[in-house]
Amino acid sequence: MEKKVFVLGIDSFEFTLAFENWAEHLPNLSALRKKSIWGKMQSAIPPLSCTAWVSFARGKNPGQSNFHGFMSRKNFSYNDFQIVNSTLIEKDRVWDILGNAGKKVIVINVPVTFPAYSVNGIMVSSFLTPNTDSNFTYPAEIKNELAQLTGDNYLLDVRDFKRMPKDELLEQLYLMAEQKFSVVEKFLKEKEWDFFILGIMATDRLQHAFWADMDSGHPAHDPNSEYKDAIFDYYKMLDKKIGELLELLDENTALVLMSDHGGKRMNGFFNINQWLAEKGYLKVNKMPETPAAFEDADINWQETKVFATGNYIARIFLNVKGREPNGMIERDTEYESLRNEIIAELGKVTTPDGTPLNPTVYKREEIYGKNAKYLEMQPDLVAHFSDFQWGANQMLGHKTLFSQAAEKGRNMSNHYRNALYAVYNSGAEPREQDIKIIDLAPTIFKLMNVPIPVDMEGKSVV
Amino acid sequence: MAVDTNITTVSIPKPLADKIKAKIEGTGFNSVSSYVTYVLRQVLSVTEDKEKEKREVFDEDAERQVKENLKKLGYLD
Repeated sequence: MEKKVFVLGIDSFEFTLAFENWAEHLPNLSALRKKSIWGKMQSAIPPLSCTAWVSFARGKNPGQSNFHGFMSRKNFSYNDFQIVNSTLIEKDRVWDILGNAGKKVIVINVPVTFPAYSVNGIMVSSFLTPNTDSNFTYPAEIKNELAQLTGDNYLLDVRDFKRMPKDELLEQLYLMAEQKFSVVEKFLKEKEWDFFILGIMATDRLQHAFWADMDSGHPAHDPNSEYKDAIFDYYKMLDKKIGELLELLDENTALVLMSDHGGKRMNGFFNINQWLAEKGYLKVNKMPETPAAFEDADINWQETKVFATGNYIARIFLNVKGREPNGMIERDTEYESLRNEIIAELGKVTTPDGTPLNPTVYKREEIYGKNAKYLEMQPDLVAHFSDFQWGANQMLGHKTLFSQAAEKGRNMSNHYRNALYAVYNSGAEPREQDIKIIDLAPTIFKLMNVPIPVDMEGKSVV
Repeated sequence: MAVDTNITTVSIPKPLADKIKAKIEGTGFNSVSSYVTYVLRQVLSVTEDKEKEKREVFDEDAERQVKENLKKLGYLD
């Protein structure tokens, strides 16, 4: 077996929608699935686009990478954050290793590839690229091809999904997908490749913006919304694109369809730092009058035991002696009991309607392993709430512990731990099998007959 | 016989070469040399990346733009 591989990665593409509820309306996807090894795929923890896409591409859990979110704390400082970018990641993502093995690779629109760097082929980076004047393609001249193909209007992302008019947003979301698939069509025909990966980000923005329009159980649902089918229609468009893509691939090419994480109704936000402050774990010198960014808050770090960063999914840090600049928690005698105390206290929180918040809290070593390379810079605890139906909010200054999903602009869905996958035309018998996101990279190596690197944590499904 | 001036020879212990030969059987690597080249490239590219890390990725303007994007996406406030 020595296949070429095309990976179609659709951000937030939700298992229950694509493979269950709407399956009969998505004929290409359903036909492909029936001929594939397919199933639910456990995303990275936390299931954010940055951690999940990097875990996928490295075949390793997030504790093996030098970041913990889009903004990661630098050197254990309290408010010096660095933006996740390609230089933070070891050059051992699937396309790096394949390139070193002599395979030609094309990488389009995959998160955490900015700045674009030299690969044995082509790389076009994704959102988190400052603008199209930035170094977002390798080789540099690819930028001109993209400009030519899109009338000098290559979209790196939508302008602002939370605030722009819905019609204009939909227009941009469709244009983004159209542009990406036209790049694929051109490169499939004109460029040399053994491994091709396309990331579609528009689905993530789409679901954040339109989930409440679709979901009658959402607190912000309007039964008369004229956008109730916005997500459904977009999935149908993608189904058509998948059909067209399959027409372009030859018999020797395996298609790996995947999402990095799923999507889930988000009722609103649990204001985690507000809760930590109320409980006395976080000492604020002057509480903001109105909700304000955590990094701008006036914190008494000498007396703070615990603080959190991260929206959507909470990353909780203890103020550890010898690690944080004003650390006060003794690692040997207090650290473990304080982590257990936080887990127990979070378990007592109830949501506005009186139901338990039902937090899922992970100790970092449980999810990343005691020997993970970057364990120490990972959060001491990672938490999500009510099976992701309450997002975390790191801001301070709320009068209540919970705030509405619309508070920070239209944002109606969270990321979900289940992603989806299908491995099509692998030569293996079709079957349903649930896997982890770290299993796809070894699968790709197996399909392409390149030895699976020994430090990969996942297992091939073929 | 024509000599490929782009290729040079390095020596490795015979038992190691035998191990590699066994490892690459049935894979896309058709010689010990091609596999060793692949592994060395991998090692070197990781080291090069470490060098690159020291460089500034975002200038002030670029950082402001990306932070603005992260706010719009709900990751930053």
